[in-house]
Amino acid sequence: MHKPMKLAGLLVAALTTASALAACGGTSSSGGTTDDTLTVGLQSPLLTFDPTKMDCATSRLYCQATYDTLVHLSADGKPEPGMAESFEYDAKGTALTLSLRKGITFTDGTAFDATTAKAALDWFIKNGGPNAAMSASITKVSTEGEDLVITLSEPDPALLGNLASNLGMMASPEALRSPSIGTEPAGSGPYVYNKGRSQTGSTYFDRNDAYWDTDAYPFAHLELVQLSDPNTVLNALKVGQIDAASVGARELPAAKEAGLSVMESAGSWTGLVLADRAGKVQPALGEVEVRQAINLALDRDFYITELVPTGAVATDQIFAPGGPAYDEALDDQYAHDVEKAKALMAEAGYADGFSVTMPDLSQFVGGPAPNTALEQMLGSIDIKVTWEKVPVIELLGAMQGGKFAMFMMALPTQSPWQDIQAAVLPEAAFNAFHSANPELDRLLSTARHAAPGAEQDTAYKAINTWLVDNAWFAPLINSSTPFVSVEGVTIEPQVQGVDLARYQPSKK
Amino acid sequence: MVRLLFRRAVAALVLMIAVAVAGFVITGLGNSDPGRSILGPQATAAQVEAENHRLGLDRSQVEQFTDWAGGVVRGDLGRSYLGDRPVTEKITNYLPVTMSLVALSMVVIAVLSLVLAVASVSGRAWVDRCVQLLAVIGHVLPGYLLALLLLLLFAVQFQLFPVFGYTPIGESPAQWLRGLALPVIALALGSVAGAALQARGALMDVLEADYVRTLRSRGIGGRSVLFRHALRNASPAWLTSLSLGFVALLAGAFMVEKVFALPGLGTLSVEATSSGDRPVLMGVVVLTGGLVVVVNLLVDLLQMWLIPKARTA
Repeated sequence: MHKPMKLAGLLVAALTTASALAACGGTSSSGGTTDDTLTVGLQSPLLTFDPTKMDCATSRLYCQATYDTLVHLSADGKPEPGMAESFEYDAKGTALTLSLRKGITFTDGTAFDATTAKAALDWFIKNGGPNAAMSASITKVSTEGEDLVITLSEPDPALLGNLASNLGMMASPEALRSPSIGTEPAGSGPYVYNKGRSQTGSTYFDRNDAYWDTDAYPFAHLELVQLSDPNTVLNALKVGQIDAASVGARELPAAKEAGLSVMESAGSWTGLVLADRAGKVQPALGEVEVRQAINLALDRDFYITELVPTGAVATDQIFAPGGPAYDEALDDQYAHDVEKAKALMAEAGYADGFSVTMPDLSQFVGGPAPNTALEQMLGSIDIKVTWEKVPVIELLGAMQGGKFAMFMMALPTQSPWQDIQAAVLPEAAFNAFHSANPELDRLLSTARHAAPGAEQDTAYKAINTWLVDNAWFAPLINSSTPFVSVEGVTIEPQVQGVDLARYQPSKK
Repeated sequence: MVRLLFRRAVAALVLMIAVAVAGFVITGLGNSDPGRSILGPQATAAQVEAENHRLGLDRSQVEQFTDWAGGVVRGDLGRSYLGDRPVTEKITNYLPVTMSLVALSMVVIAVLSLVLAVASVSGRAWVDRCVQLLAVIGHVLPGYLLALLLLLLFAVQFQLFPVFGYTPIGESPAQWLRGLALPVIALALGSVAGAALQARGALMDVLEADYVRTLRSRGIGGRSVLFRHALRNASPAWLTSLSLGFVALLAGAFMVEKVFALPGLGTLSVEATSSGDRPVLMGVVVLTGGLVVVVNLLVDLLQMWLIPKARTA
């Protein structure tokens, strides 16, 4: 055979092999869309099935597929019945009585009732691990007939939300005590973990036909695939190897161009934490006029246009747009006005400005541009910024420990009380100087003791108004988190994050 | 021979201890905070400190190392900080992907480099030129770029191969091969060229040696000279190139795993590094260090078997 003929033969053989391999495809065990399987790409790996140790903030779908919770949250974040058919606080708001749903069985055959629910809650309180704070206000769990009663040391507005997360995840008490709980869960969620079909990086579930609300979960199978690279996520969506995923702001335009459906959920607020409100490190920040001037000096529209790819809105509030604490009118309070800002600086005795040191976060925000923009905006009222490089390991500790009078931060927007717990309460991680104020304390107490619903929402709005008036923060933007799905799968809108029940087949 | 093997085994043990100590020191230098990784950014400094205390991270580095090394001697690599699972279980889950990738790449490199080397010294000038061209491309084109190009072309554009995913060989050999085809091409191309050039050079040297001329003068055919005599004597350089290639493959596999989202040791290492999961990182260090030592030992043995002279070296 001539040499060119041999080469041609080799090429044909190679192409034939490739085609044969390709023909073997269709539905690979990792990914692959079929009509009855929902395949979702997630950034977080599955680390454990132990309900006390699972991180349901980043691994929400693993949690919700495996374990049902006492309380569910509606699309707009309101508590609604879950494994508890109804729930009610006493007049003081320190005892929650839950009437439990009957006929629920865990996957190991154990029946769910008040006794098993108490055992699961007691186990959580004893072994809460990284989620221990969720049960901090609980002093006792007891049964009253077929009901479950949770007694609190003081009203806890985050309790119902926590009962829709790790705290309320019910597992068979026997499985909880087993050392293999991390790999062999026994919950009663809408799906059942299929160990045989799962592999590293891909977790497979079959629908739990005994679930009390199977209509809410129409897919017969669920596959959760760990994909940490944003480009891989986008490519996998484009070729239909996965059905849905959240994508980064940078990938969003390409996702839209590819014809994928987009649902944007609340994400996080980015801006300045004006932490030293008593002026301990930087006396100027102790003056409310100075903090207000900083807010007025920020050109939020410029920041969005020049530095944020897409999916962000200008805001001066730390609460999620559209949420119970958010007030659209407040976003006009600090419209960019350098002259007004200068007048306030002068009024506070800082007409010549001052110097402030902030931690350099350029390595986390993709470059020095945000630093430069902030320098220019604060420079317009003669505030001179010095950036200090802090080792990553020390960064959060330095910010939370009161080293910096003010610093840039991006914090997720959750429920109002969770946002307050993160940044407003004196003991909050991002209330670095443990700032407090009698008027704010009164507003917080009102919100804590208010009945959930309209009364509490009004109290949250009052807190938000006080925080904006007193300029505790200088937020720049609120960024949404885009969730993308392929044709055939719809992600129903949700205020914060996306619960498993929001993934539905598209209506034909 | 036995003494030689004993010396190599002792050297390997010393090397592993040095690797473990260096690995522990380096992983201790990283800017990571396991307590923070576990509790999240909204935990207070006091909560993070308490978590780090629970993990024993407030003890001295020497105390932590002796504790860890004692566990390793007993066959216990410790527990992952994240998820609290045994490190051995985690590594066992991620190892098959990397081993599949590296083993398949090694087979491709060994076979192709040998075929190309033999072809290039068999008087076929165009093959020789092709091998040299391939070598240049292999060295010039970064593996990461090649992997991205292959992914975009054959997975995204033509959809002949999956964008991501790994199927165990026991589940479906065809799917296993399909999932690994592009990663293996991206990983092996550069090493094929390098190993082929090494083998080609060694073969050319051997074919010009006096004893080969003597063999030819006695009327022994060219094919017999090449396959029965020259190839055996040229093999040390090729085997050395392969053993070095194995180390490069392990490093390259970590990069290729990222591009093709394969759940292998590279993915595990990246996760462990970003979360400061030192037990997992040290497990990967010990495992990969051990693999390199074992492969080098095997190559030494193979050379001794092929070349009797090497047994007395």
